[in-house]
This record gives sequence, structure tokens and C-alpha cells, in this order.
Amino acid sequence: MHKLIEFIRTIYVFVFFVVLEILAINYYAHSTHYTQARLLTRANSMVGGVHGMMADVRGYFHLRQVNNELLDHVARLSERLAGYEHIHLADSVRMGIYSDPESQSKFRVMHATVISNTVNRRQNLIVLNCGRREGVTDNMTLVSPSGALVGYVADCTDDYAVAVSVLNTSMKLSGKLKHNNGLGSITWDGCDPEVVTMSELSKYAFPEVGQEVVTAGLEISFSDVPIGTIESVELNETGTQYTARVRLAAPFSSLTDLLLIERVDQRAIDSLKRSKKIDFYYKN
Amino acid sequence: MYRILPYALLFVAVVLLQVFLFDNLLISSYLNPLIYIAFVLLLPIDTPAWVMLALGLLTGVTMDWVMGIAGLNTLSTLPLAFFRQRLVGVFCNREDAREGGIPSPERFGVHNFTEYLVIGVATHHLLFFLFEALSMSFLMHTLLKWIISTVVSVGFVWLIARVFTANSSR
Repeated sequence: MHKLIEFIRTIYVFVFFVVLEILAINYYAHSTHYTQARLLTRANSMVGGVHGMMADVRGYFHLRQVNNELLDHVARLSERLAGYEHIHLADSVRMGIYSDPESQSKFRVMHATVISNTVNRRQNLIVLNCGRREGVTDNMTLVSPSGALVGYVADCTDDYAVAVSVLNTSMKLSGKLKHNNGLGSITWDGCDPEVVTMSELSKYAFPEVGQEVVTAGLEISFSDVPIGTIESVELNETGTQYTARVRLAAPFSSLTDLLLIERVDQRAIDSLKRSKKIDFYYKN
Repeated sequence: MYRILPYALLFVAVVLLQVFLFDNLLISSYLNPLIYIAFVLLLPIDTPAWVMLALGLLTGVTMDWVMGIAGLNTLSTLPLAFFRQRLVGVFCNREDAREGGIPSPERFGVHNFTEYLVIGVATHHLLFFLFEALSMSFLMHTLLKWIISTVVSVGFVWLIARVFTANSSR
């Protein structure tokens, strides 16, 4: 008995270590980017305030650049507005949404400041300074001030939101070539924070260097949101599919302010997708 | 017991440094220094094995929570905490180890202390980056990231050790 107790005394730390290590590996193996986003959102209830203060200081040094981007954006919007103003009356009646001042936009856009962002991990997440209180909801699409795709909101608390960045190896996204709608899968390999891979691109899509890649609108609510431009193209061994390297349009290393976009009718679409009739066709 | 306050301050300092400074270094995808392990590496030489493991667990879980990485910091910090006593044994003779004290260049010698830090940091970082990658597809990228991050982390852990031992010996 004494020997047994001695034996346990000598190995209990080792047993303790093995059990804890197995638990940690198990927890990590079963975690998804949603688990990680949830952890980070909870942590930000405590450390978010300091992150926010630091983001304010960082933002101060980017004021000139942000101002320039805003001016560019205002210029583009003014140009588009001028275009709409020139639409013939008959056209504007037909396109009621533009001419009717009472008509509501189908999209809700809001501004958010980045308080924490990483690019050097494989599962990068972005913490934003606004949450449910400001109207942020899960799955809102995140774009840069220039309109390029950055990610989507995975989880939020009352004051903070955590978004899954395009620079996240778990993120699977459908993209298409802007000029001919050739579909492909967008993934990040975890290496270069400025480049993603577009694979499974049909040989009939004829991708070329310099062509623009936009979202296909399958996983996120919006199509035609710019992702980046093709940097190089490679045909696979069987000659049936292309794989392209796409240089991202959004500057992930220097994100300060972002736009959150939501389709106003997204909830109606989601509930339709979950309806019993649709479910019946999925099951059969 | 007399060392609890300095070590509590060290713990808070390394966690804050990691979260608010080193996690925000967006210099390169090859650079991801994890300096919070300074807390485990600088624990007193005579710390009982179970306390080492418990403090390693505390460090890992805290970092997982604040960095939003479910389990990765814990699984890479626990082996470091478990093998730390054996690592100290390599660079420090049995009598010195029994005497206790903080691992430092004065106690180990500059060369031995550097080797101690390099082995400790490299082991932790290797586990961290291999489990993070979970794939051999980009092995070169992972290895390069491991080497660069280890070098930078060792430099900063060395600085933290200098500041901590200077304050503790005062």
C-alpha cells in the first residue's frame, strides 16, 4: 500500500500533465472560427476598452489617409448621383427605387472602427468597436472604405463585434470573375496576408492576369463586392481547372475604419430558406 | 510566498504586453512573437512540479481567452511548464536548484541562460506553430515563422528577465 502511494506520488504530476494536454488538444481540435470569435467577443468585454483607446490613438495618425479615402468616396458617390439625376423621367418612374424619395434602401450600412486586428495567424479575427446596441447583427458583411471585402461578423456582444477576416484559413468563400461570372472557391493558405487563392475555376472561364474577382454572393449576402485582382494563373495537371493567385483589394495590415452592410430583407430570406416547404425539398 | 506579488505583477505585465503590443504587430506573417511564456520561464527554480503545471495551465488558459484561440496556447504552454524543471536541471547543478531563486544570467551564466531561453521558447513556439498550421503543406512557411518568431521572442524574454531580476534583487 505504502509503495502504491509512493508510486502515485511520483507520477501524479505526469498524469495531471497528460490529462490536461489531452483536454487542451481536444478543445483545440473541436474549435471552429466561431468558437474563437465567441471567446474573443467575451474577452473584449474586459479588454475592449483599452483596445478602443489604442485604436483611437492609432486612428489619429491615419486621419489624413482616411480623409483622402472619404473624399474619394464622396467624389464617386457624387458622380453616381449626378448620373441618376440625368435619368429620364420615364426611366425614373420605371426604376421607382431611385426616384421615389420615400422608398427605403434595401441595404443598411453602418460604420465601425477596428480596435484589434491580426494578419500573422492562420485564424485571423477582427474586433470592432460596435455591437448589438448599435445595430450590429451576425453575418453582416464587412467592407473597407473603398468597398473591398474584408470579412463578415461572426459574433457580437452589446458593445463589440468580432468578424472573421478573409485572412482566415477556415473561411470558404465563392468568388467569380467580374467580366464573365466564372465561379471559383476563394481560400487563404495562411502565408501571404495580401494574396488569396481562387481554385476550381473552370477552363472555360479563361482567367487572365489583372482581371477583377468579386464575391459570388453564395456565403455572404452580397454579390459583386470586390475581392481583388488576379496576379497569376495556373492550369491544373488534367487541364480542366485553373488556380489563380488573387491580390486582395483591401489593405488588411492597415485597417482602421470599415463599413458593415446588411440586406434589410435578409431575415425574411433566411426564414424562407428555413421554411418547411423548402426543408421538404432538401430532405427528398 | 514572499515572491507572490512580483510574480503576479510579471504575469499581468506579460499578458498586457502580449495582447496590446505584440498581437498588434502587423509587420509580417512570419513574425508572431509570444512573449507571455517569460512568466513560466522565470518562475523560481525551486517551484514544485505541480505548481509549475498549474501556473502553466493558468497562463495558457488566460492567453487562449484574451487572444481568442481555443486551446492552442494551453497545449503549447503545458509541455513547457512540465519540462521546465528538467530544463533547469541541465543548466543548473542540483545544489543551486535546491537553493531556489529566479533563473537569470547571473545564476546560470550568460551563455547557459541564453541557451535555456532558446530551448524553452523554441519548444513552445514549435508546438504552437505546428498545431496552428495542422498541415505539412506550408512546412517551409511554418518553419521560417518559427525561427523568426523564436529569435524575436528570446530577445524580448531576455529583456523582460533583465528588468524583472533587476527589480527583484533590489
